Amino acid sequence: MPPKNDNNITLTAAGAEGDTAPIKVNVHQHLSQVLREALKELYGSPTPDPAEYDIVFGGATLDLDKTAEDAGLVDGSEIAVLPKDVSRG
Amino acid sequence: MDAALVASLIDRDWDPFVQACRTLSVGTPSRDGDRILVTCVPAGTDETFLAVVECDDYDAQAPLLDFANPEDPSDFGRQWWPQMQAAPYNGVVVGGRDLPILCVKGTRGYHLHTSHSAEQYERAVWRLPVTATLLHRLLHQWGPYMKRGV
Repeated sequence: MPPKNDNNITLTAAGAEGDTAPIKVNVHQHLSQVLREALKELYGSPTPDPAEYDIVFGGATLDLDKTAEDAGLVDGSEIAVLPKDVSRG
Repeated sequence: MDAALVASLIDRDWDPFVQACRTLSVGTPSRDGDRILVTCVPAGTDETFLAVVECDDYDAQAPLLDFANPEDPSDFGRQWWPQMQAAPYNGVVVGGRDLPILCVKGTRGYHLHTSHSAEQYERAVWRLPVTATLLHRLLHQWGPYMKRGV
């Protein structure tokens, strides 16, 4: 049995319509990479452009240059993946 | 629509809605039939607001978003909305009711407005978690907070 890597955590990513997907990440990964993986899990292929999305956690938009650990994400954390902007009528 | 069907559709979307409200720090929703109440606090103030999400005929039509007196949910209207400086407010009259709206698809007022009533959308556009996302944008992204009333 391989040794357990305590740096690996599982997050729940939620899209704007409420769809969710579990994503496994390393706490040292940058959130830009977490965002790419979340978009891939939520929307499949073709994967939306990460430049058009934010990660929101605890009501705040996260700095994508931070690592998951620095952003305070822990195993079981729920993140939202939202378009940066919405079209206004 | 049949009330039991509406209730079952709200049931279907309730857990994702609650989760979205939690993740987006919108507030903790409570449910009274087809009416959902969310006590919330916009960024930049300690004042409490009460969002009212009316889901009659859900999801054949979009939820209606309004705000009410936090002490009396039956007292609703524009005087109870948070005024956020960057929010895209507009208004529409629904059944004689003067309803403030956000000019973003997802709530009933937008879809009933004459500028948008001819647009066609999948029902997923106004699923309950979308309402949580709109509340998040209103309360946390479209500030700064100005005052109570729009």
